Amino acid sequence: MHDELVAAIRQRMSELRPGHPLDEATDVGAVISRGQLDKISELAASAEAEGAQRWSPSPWAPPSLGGPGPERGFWFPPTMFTGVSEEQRIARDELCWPVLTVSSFATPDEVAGRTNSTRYGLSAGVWTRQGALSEWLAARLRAGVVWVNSFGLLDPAVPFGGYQESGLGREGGRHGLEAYLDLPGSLDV
Amino acid sequence: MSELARPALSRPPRARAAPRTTYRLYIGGEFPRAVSGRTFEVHGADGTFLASAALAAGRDARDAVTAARAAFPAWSRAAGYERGQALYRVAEVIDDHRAQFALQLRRAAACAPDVAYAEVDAAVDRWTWYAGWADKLTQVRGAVNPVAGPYGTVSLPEPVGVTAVLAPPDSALLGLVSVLAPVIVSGNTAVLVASERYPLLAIALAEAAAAARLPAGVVNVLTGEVAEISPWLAAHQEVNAIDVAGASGPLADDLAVAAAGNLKRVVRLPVADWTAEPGLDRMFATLETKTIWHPLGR
Repeated sequence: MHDELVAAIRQRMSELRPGHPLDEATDVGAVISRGQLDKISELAASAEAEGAQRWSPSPWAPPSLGGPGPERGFWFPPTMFTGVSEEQRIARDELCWPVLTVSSFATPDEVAGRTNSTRYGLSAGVWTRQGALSEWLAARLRAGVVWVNSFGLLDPAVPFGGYQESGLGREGGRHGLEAYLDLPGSLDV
Repeated sequence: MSELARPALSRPPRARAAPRTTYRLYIGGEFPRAVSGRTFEVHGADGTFLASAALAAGRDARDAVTAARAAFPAWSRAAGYERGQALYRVAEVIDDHRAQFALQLRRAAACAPDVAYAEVDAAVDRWTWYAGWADKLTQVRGAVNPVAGPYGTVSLPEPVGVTAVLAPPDSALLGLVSVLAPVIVSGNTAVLVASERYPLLAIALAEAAAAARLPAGVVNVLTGEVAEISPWLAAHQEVNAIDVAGASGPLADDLAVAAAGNLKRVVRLPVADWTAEPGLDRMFATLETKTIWHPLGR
């Protein structure tokens, strides 16, 4: 399962198009700043040093840095690390994007324990054909959003926001509205 | 010689030395001394010496957080019904020891007996009221969201985690119960810092929790100086929220700054009239919201 999935993700990553964020054909834009690019680069290097295997579809450096990528912007290619364990910094620190880390597991308990071992908890995704297992895992994952057999969906009527150091409060839905309201007794049932 | 033959009643009365209790902390279901071994004297409102209590410091705060963290998985995953039952039992134990709590209150606050009994009864009622929320919170605080697409989504309240609670200094028992119960009813585990004026009531509550078999570590109680203990909790990476009800304005400001280090939820509600209806704000303040998406289809 692990190898098959990794191969499929690599194939998909190879098809991602870099470009201007306002261009509809763009899949991946540049990193927001030099500081963030340095942070990603440093964490990626630490992951390699700590034993994870690095993979990118192609070097996305701009021509000025000797690569075939877009000319302007702080580019970091979509990157996947396999063989990641929870002790590695890349599994614990907040990186966001455009780096994917892959860890394999033997039991659902292991998934819950490992996922909950970070200081963050914005979102999680569960892919499985077993309905009972998805409910079980969704209940255990300490994250503000759990997408079952889906990922990254947002809707103005649905609360979005993280646990722990991933944020305070919620945007969207009734929970999101409450932060903008000060109605005496509005919380009283 | 048999028991019956002993002339017990004919002996002259002798002077007794009443036991002089040194109260301890309550951590992980045990009653340990402070790691430093230090104690402080507790006096009633009229200046009478009441007892000695353990003077907690940073190391005790860390032990309490460790115990609260260890208790969190089981307590937070327990069914609301189970948590409710566990909390009702605590209310029963307090009620069973009504006279004892009232006596402690009279000594600590120098109040009349009827005032003391009224506060104990109000505290039992308050605890019971919160206990009733254990199996109702999810329905009242949760939501089914109307998403524009082929997905079903639900939003559920979950406890934020280990919560530090600073007991208010102006209400020995009712205020204490009013800040502790709303935290643990939803599945949080608590590290309670007793008020400096009324530490013995906090320990009495801990004894009631222990007697009621509330799972170890769900409530942990530290006694000592609030300004000494609370900064450790506010800065602790394993603490997820802090209710600063028992901190003065400047201390509360400092604690809020320290709490930002790991984005703790800081509960800072307006000064309360503890005898008034508590409302739901305090209970809701230590909840997270988890939203689960499922695709819908054939």
